[in-house]
Amino acid sequence: MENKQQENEGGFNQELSELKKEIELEKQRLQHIEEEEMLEKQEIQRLDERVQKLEHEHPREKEVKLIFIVNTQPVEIEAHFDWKLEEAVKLALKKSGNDNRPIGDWTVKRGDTVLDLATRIRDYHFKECEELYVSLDAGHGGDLVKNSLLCR
Amino acid sequence: MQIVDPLVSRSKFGESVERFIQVEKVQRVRGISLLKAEFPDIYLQFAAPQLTPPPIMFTICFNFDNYDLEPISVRFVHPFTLQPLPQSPFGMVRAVANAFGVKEMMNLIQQDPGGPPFLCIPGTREYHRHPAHTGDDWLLHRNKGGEGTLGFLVDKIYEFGVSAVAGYQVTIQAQIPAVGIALDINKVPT
Repeated sequence: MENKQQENEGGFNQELSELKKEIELEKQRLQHIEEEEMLEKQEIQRLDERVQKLEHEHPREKEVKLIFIVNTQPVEIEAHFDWKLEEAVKLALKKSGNDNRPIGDWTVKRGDTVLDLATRIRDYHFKECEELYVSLDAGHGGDLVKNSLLCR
Repeated sequence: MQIVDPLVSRSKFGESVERFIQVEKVQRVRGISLLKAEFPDIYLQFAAPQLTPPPIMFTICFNFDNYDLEPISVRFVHPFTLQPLPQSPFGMVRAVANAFGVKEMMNLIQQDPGGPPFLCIPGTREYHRHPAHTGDDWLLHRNKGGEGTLGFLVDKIYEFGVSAVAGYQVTIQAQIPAVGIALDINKVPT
């Protein structure tokens, strides 16, 4: 009976020491993970600081100032690079009090080149304060032909 | 005859001139120069800077009498004397596809027998006063996207009268009275 009790105690102690070892190993693994996490955080912080420094040194341009000449009236618009040209033109028409006609009635030209209103500002690579002509397409279509013929 | 309060027309005339002057530098690059501005008339000259030497295409008197109860009058004048011209020096054309899809050029400068040449587009006094356009009243166009303003008219005249000018066209009629033979003195035998 006593022998059996001693055997049980021996087994219990062995199991206990194995569990303690396992806990110790787990603690070490946890500490290792924490250290890695700390290193990663430091790396992220370092990269953030680097990005901030670079942005400060080389600020990214997000807008360009365009001068729309609407019926010879100059209108300045700060156009975002992500905007479609149409958005900037609508703003220029509103600012010049000419927003009472649909956008399709207007033509935008860079010099003598007609620009596409659906194209993004970024894609045109406009210079700062570039001048664009906005003119009304009045008389286009069939009316003017008919009227011209009537005048003859 | 001025039936609108002259103060109204004068004020609108002043605004139009001021707006033009704001972009005068840009307009000059396009060949458009302000010659004279004295109420009720503004004289602008339209050259074609794309050619060498640049020709004066049109000199135009914009008249602001009764503006903007009535539209601006557009008259072609001599570039130096500023006197009205009996005929426009050049055409003002736009391309229009006909029923067969073929592009045809329509002249926007029209003239009635014995009358002065005029710009036949909605927004000019001559167009709206013309018997053929009694159904297309000026008041249907006024304040609609700037139609009929000085800026609009300047744009249209540049677009249809100047922007498409590509070169001089010269017709030469040569007459050869006699054809001789050229001799090389060094090859003439002694």
